[in-house]
Amino acid sequence: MEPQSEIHRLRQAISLARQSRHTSSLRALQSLLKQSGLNHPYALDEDSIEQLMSVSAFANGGEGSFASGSGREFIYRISGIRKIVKFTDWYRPFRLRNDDDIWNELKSDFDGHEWLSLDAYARGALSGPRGFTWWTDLDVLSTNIICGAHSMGLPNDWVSKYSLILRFPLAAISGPEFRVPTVLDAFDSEIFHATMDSDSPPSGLAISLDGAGPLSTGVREFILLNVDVKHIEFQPILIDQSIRDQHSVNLDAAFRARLQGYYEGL
Amino acid sequence: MSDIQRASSDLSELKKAPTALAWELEIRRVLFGTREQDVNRLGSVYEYCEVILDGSTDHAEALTMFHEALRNIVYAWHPTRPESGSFIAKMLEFISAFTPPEGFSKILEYIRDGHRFGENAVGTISIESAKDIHMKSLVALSYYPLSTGEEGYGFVPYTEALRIHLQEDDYCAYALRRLYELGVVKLDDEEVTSAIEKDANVVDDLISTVLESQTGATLSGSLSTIYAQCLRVKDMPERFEAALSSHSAEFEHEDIGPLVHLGTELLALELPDDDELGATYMAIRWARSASSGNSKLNDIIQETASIN
Repeated sequence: MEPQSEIHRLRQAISLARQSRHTSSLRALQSLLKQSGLNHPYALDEDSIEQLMSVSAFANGGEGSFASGSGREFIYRISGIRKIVKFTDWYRPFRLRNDDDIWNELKSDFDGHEWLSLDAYARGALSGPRGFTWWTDLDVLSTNIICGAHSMGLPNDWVSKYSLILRFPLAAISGPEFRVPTVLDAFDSEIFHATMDSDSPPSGLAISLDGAGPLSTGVREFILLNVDVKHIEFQPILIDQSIRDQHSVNLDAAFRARLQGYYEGL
Repeated sequence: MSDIQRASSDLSELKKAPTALAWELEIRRVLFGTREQDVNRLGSVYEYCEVILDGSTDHAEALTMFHEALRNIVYAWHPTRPESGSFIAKMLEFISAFTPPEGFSKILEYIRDGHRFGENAVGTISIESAKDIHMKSLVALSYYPLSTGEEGYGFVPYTEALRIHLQEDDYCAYALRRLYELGVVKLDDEEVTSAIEKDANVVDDLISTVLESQTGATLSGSLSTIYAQCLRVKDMPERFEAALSSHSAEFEHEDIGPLVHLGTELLALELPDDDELGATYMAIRWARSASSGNSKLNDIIQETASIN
């Protein structure tokens, strides 16, 4: 069986066992994939995405149990600049300019500062394609940036070149917008550790991709539903070839074999 | 499982041994929406390509093959041929990001023939999406180097195309901004007044442009001229103040004239010697101080009521 199909098969079985309240949606996913002639949801085209997004369980997320912080002051996220421009009411620099162009302007504003406030560039809430964003409690700036991304469960191929490190103060959380990730939140991601509902976990756990041996659980991860940009600060960071070359984790056959091994061990 | 889904699962070959043909196939897959999930994850087609290029074994070879592939695709592209809105938007993003040689003339000729990108998109497309697609084409043109002056390559047809867009509500703010940046339009031109009348966003755009590119006396002069233009159009002085405040600048009405606090800088705006503009400014100033006086009076009344 093709590696991604096998990974999906394993993921479905783990999801049903660990978060059985999502059984009907997971079955619906299987049926929709079958209708589209697909074996897995990890390389979707425009039409398949449109079809899946017509189902509320897949179009929206962030319906896991309420999360609780881990004694840290902030949670962090790495995001490409374009996703921030797209999923806020971005007002400057002009949103249709090239990614590098917008990023360069932010970088020039940033020089001499510790953090920039997102509300100097965008209004309203930060959202995501499905109404939420992923965060972790790893202070990614305190570590090698690409290894930090790997600890968050992000392979090199998922890390944008023109990135922002965002931070959000846990003190600004009012409650319902801070959630434990569910298998439905991550249905389209081949890298996801499903926590056990029966354990009532306070957070999710990323899969750490760091190191050459078997994969292990990584940092705590969270879902944030739409949050006001006024609470978010950021630093622009260029993740170019020289940084990527420091440690490469790519979505290739060897990596997928490690991922398969991780799921089989759960 | 479809071959396309299988092909998308591993880009190792493209990174290790890139060829123009392999890149052409990959770019077409992006254009046709086959790579949508991967593109969405990174945010843009630009990032999608940059990440593959940066992850390639031989970066120089990968870049060469990529640019050759994109040049072939843009060369073969006919903007008049109906495509999905998503295809057109992505094609314009590719042109904007990587400026293949044919891109400039393909876009400009289509626009000069009176067309608007997105108008011939197949399938359902919202008016907003169509406007966004056409705006992407204008932005893409701005990334091509232009030699200014009548003999400069592409300068005259480009500025003519921008002037045509001054007449259109949806694009006049952007077109005016570019014409100003290129030195074709001056801030005190009548074209600026009529653009402000057409679209209030012109005020925000012009203020952003001068704040981002000027300082000191030049900035003060530009802000004075924009403010004078705003005084000629109803409600626009307020828009001017709001636009400044979104850049963390503060506007103050003083006897000597308007003042702008920008960080540690204090800029005195000079209004032109024009009785009508002077009277409009004084009327605004009077109304503002009257309303501030009323508000203070209301505060006193409320305070007194609460004490009683």
